[in-house]
Amino acid sequence: MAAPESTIMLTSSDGTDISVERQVAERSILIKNLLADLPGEATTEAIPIPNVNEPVLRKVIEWCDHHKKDPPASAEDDSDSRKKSTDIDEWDQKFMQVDQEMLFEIILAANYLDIKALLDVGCKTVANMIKGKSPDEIRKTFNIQNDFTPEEEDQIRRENEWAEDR
Amino acid sequence: MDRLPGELLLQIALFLEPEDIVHLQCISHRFLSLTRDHKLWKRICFDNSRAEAARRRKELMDAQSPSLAALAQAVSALPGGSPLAVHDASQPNAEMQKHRIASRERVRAMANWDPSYPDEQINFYQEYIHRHAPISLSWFQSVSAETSGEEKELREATGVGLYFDNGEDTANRLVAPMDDGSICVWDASTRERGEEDNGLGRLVARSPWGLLTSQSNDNTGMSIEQSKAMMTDTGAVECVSIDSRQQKGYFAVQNVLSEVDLNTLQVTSRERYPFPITSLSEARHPTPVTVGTNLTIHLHDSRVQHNTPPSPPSSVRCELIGGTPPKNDFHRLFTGDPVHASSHATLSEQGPLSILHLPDREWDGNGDIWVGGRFTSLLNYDRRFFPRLRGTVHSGARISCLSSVPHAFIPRELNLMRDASLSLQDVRAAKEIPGTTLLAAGEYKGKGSLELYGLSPWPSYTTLSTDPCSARYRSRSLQNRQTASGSKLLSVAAHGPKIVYSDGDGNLKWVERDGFTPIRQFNIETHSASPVTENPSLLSTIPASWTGDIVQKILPTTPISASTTSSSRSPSPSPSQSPFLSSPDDDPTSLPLHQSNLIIWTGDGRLGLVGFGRQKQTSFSAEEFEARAESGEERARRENERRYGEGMRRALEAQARDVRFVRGLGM
Repeated sequence: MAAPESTIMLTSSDGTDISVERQVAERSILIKNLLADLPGEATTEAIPIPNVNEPVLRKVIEWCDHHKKDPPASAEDDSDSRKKSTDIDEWDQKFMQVDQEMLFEIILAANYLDIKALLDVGCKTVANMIKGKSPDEIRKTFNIQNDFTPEEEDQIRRENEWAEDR
Repeated sequence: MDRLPGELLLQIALFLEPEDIVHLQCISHRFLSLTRDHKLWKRICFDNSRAEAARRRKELMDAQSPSLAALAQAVSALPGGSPLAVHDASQPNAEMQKHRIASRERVRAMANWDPSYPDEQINFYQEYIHRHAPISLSWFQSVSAETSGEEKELREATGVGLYFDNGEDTANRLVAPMDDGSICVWDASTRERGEEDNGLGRLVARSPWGLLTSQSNDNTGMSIEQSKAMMTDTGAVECVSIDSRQQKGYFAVQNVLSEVDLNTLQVTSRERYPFPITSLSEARHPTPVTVGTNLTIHLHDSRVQHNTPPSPPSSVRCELIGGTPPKNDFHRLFTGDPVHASSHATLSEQGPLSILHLPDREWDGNGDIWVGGRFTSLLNYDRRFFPRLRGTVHSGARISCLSSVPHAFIPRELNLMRDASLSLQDVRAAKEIPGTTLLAAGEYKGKGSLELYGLSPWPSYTTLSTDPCSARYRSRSLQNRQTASGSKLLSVAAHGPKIVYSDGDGNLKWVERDGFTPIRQFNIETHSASPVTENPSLLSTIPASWTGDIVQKILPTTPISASTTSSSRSPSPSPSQSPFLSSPDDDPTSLPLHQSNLIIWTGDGRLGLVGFGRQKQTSFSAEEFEARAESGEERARRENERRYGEGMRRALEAQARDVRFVRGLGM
């Protein structure tokens, strides 16, 4: 494994170069595998991240930086005992206090870069926004168009009556 | 949110409770198709299953106690033993490695749990509802005696059968003979319809009383009591068989099998058998019905006219419709005439209680007939060589009901959900063997016994009934006599990818297809869904006694054979086909939700519908029908009664207050 102090360059979709500690960047399995496949000298070149723009990439790196000391297993526990536990630690909660646009961008970036723990945090944040809300409230929260006809809506409501008032 | 791809939305859904996912379904078309995803619901079903709970517990234990961890390590170090690779934290990529192992482990456990077969398509959303939604029990409209005076005497059903409209997978009529010898038909269709004319559960047709009983005696001298005695005499459970293709029903009363046209509710033919009939097989034209009498087994082909009674003295009311001369006359049975020996098979022991036709050979009318009853073996006949017994399988239990699952039996040593230890390939291989599983419910030494027998065209995977050496099929069968029930099992049926059975304590129990792992249970006595009626009388009347009622017969409204006949017809089901085509366009389970319910016939002669969840479509109450049927006049009278009762109660209460007051003065 490379020395922790070595840095690499990432290029965001809008062409900005960002330099990151290698250890931080390796939170992303995508980058980690990429680096593992490259011969040593190639790591001096900037790695293009075509799907992620600068603000989002900076946000993702911020998260990775904060979590670089995490024991590897902690991310693991999340995925296996993801059973409904939507608890998010405090720092992550603050980190995720962004507008929805940004939140979804982070989720997409985490998915693309294959950062499992960040993806989970993002998904949990969205899940918490959905929890306990009525369909109408969810629609309002996420600004989703209701494209059902009244008949369809009625039918679905009746099909789902089993879950009500439990 | 619309920008997120479907798989990420599903990831989010995994963090939600089922209730929230249900809310998501109501949002838009996209969310509906995404969150009705069968894989998602399968995962949720799995996460909530006992098998998974046990696995988690085990995992937790392994992680906690160091002695067990050492053991686990030893096990995984065994050559070729556990598929669990040893996790070495010091290695590079340790995190990924551990993650991969864990997720592989989960996938494997899920495949071990997965109740579905490669060519089977299951709506797991519905499955979740079946497993976790509250159960509602509704009673079909009760039938009162025709000569109802003041006291309303209710008629009891003495059997039950389901009628399926042509080409439909769900039952839409319920047919039952009543103890006065009439036949009643109820609406059992849960198809979509307007709010107002939802006739589910309503009585739609009724024949005059004595229809089934009148032929043997003189109609004139027949009383309802006689009729009732006849109808309740045999005490048989499966003496109703409905042929949906011909729209006919077969009803057995004592010695006589009556064939009834369900459109006109008229008896079209009658056949008399030498002994009281104790069971009927399913009727599916053109396969002949198998009739089991106390001592014999017969094939009844509806195309042969059987309208002539055997002995001249009782042929007073003989109706010659076809004019065909009688083919069978049974006095030869008593004389033992070898020429006609081929018309029936004689049993050495009494009382066949259940006859099952295996569906796999339905296309050519041949195939296996299995008979179970008060004897300890299952008898197997081949219809082509009918009277010859093909073989027996020793069970040891007394069987009260036979049923089948059109999929191969997973042998005990391979699959038990309790230790999900099979690899993916093994699970798939075991499930790809074509075959049928025979379900038998009965009683063994006073306890309930649920038995599964694997049948397959491959000799090495089947319970060979012709093989006298029982040891060979030990592993091809399973007899659950420990955890099935503390009392006799009365009925068993395949309900989706589950098995449901009823026992002598009034329980309905669902288990996984392994016959062991419990899913849920429901008691018809304690969970009686009848709403407590506001009774305005002075004294609170005790509602009709619910205690001691049992479920005698379970009929799923969407029988499993109906949905899988196409696949079971083809000799080799294509295993390569993906089992989960969950895209909304070619939704495999075209059946609407909430159609797969259970119809039960109880020991008290009532008919009920077991539905899942609270929905209007499948719940109804007897009171509603009463209210609807009531004339306005009657309602007015009842209203008066109520007012009078209330007035009296108030007067009595006032008097009681006065008494207390006076008593207080005396102190």
